[in-house]
Amino acid sequence: MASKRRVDAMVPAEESDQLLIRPLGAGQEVGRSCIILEFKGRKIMLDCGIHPGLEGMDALPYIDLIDPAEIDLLLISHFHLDHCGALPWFLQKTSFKGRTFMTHATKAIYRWLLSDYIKVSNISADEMLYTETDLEDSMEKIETINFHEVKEVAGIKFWCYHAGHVLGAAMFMIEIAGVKLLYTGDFSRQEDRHLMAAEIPSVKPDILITESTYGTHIHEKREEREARFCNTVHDIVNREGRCLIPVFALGRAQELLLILDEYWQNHPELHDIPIYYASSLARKCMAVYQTYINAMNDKIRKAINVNNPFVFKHISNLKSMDHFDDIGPSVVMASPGMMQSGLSRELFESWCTDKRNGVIIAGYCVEGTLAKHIMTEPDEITTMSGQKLPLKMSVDYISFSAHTDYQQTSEFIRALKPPHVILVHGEQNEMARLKAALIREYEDNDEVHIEVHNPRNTEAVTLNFRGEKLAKVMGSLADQKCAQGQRVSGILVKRNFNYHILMPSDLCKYTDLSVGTVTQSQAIPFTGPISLLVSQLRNLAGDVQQVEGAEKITVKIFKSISLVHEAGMVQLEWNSSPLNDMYADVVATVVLEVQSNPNTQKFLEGRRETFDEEVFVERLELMLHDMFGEDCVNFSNSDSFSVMVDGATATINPVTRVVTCAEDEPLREMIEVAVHRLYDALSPAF
Amino acid sequence: MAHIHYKFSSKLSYDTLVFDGPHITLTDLKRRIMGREKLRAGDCDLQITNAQTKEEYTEDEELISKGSSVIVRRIPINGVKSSSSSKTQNT
Repeated sequence: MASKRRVDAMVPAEESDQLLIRPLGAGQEVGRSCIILEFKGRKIMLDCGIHPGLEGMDALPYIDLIDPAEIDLLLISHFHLDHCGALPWFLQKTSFKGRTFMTHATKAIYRWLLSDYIKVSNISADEMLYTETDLEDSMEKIETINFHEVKEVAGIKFWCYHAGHVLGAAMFMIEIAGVKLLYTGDFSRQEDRHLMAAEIPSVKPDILITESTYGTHIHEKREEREARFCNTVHDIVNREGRCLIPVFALGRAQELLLILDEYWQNHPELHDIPIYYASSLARKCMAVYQTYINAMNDKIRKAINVNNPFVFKHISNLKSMDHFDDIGPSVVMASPGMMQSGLSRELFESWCTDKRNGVIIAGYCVEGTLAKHIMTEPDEITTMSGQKLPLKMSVDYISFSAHTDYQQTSEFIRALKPPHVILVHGEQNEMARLKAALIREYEDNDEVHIEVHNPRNTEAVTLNFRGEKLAKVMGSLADQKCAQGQRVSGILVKRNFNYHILMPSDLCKYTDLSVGTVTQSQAIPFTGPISLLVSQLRNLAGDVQQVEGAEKITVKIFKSISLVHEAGMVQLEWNSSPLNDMYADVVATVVLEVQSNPNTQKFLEGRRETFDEEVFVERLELMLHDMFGEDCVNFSNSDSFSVMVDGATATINPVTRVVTCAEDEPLREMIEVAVHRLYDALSPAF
Repeated sequence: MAHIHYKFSSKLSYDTLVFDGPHITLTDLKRRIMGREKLRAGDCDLQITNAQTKEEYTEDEELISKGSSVIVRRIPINGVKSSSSSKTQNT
């Protein structure tokens, strides 16, 4: 059972070093290319095609294994059905809400190629994955990108190179957190009449995802191939036969038209034999080709100045069978390329029984299609209606499909030397052979290590990229030169995958962030004596300062926490910071302690301050003066003080604070209370 | 008349399957869904999970009761050459 992604619960996806590549299609097969790339929490889908040999939902990649809503970015390499045939379905019928990119030419051709595909599809309306309306509606969701233009989406940087193969085909280079991945799509390193060869990127990727359609084959030389093609066509029409070349309306057809037009030009004896380019969209398609000349090679661009090479002299458009007078030899190029249905199929069925006729398969054929089947030279074929017909017409296979061959792939990899190569888009055996050949090429090489993977559909390749995290120090922190081992501290600012270290004061200069202060205040119910609280705090902090001039008693503790004594509570106020918050916590704890446990006074008696005797005597004298008048108080004798009132004398012992008075008891009591009160007032709180 | 609601994981809405009886076997359900959706490829299988509990139904003869909602996922059958297809003769 194909397993779903397991999330590493310990490390969040954004920080994980794990990079995942999972083909949902084109894994050990050709068709329905759809490759999922996951890294640093970003999810990218590369291509979204259908399988030309299957129909309906069967033709889709295994999209059920991912959540379309989680895909951030979708990149389409080129307009072939097996790379974008499922795009209208994916954009209109699933929860996908990311961004889609392709080159300008690809988008223009996608519109008409898929329209053609919808028309020629021979399946019932309810089996169709999407309609012409879906296709039209999907257009506004697709964004375009120029070759070599760098775009950034969700922290993913990407740009594309020319891939050859077909007009507008691109190889995408993707960079996430410094790791680079190149997806070739379909590519060819050989220039042809109108397309340039695939570029070799100047930047070396860490991972290369490449097609492996032709595995270890080596193509015949271009001149030989073209000669063989032209000779075969010539032979067929010479023997009064009809030559059928099934191709899609756009793509390799244009290259073949250029070849045939030139050949006809050089062979006046053929000028009576018509060449038809049959597609209901022929005119629209050619208009697109004529527009995107700047995506073609230099030769064509120079030729344009003289006359438009796509305005053919010997080729006419054919809208449908009705416009076709089948009288005598002719050459017809008709879609679709693998003859599943449509005009090419109709013509094939009407011509296959005559041995003078011939069909030339000019492109790659996927398993399960009629084109692939007839290459095995069967005696008979089954028509669309189920009828059996003998196959007498000649079948030739001359591939112009512009895919890389072993020589080209090997050279491409040698130039880039990617540590990891993932093979997709190839039949299982071809791919296995290519993998073995590539491994063999580098097995004795000590300097170059290349790992080759060929995952099946839904099978994931997991790679680990331990990137070095680089943080740039900026602003005032960078004023001094750093030494190895020196500690740097500041604020780490992360934007996508770039890290900077700044001083808080520099934040507003280099970022959109600004620094603010938070002032906190806390009121705690407190009904005990404020002096008790202050002394407790002094014990704890040492640094307790009375704030002068305040209305209510205010002290500042640790130079940062201010404590105000209000009625029935204390109010703490401070500027928030990790240190200050901690101090505030501590002060609050002390307040709560004192509040709940006033007997701390007794507990800490051992640590009481020394009682100042002299001050007490001074104050006592002052107090008694106030109470009885200066004349009555005698403090001359330091061992005992006396107070004379109305003839009665009271003696006060300063040490024991005992008051004696023989004559006047009330006087004695009064003085005693006064002495004790003064003593209590002046003695330390605990 | 009993119903089962099924939704392909990538699609947006549920479809309904009608059958007789209080429940249906997993094999039967798969067959019915594949028939309904015209899934004919020989290398394709379905993974059925309960929409509420997220538990996967694994036993072929396991019974799924009527009124259930299930999530369906198309998956390849491992070990089978994905290039093979039973449709080589006709479209």
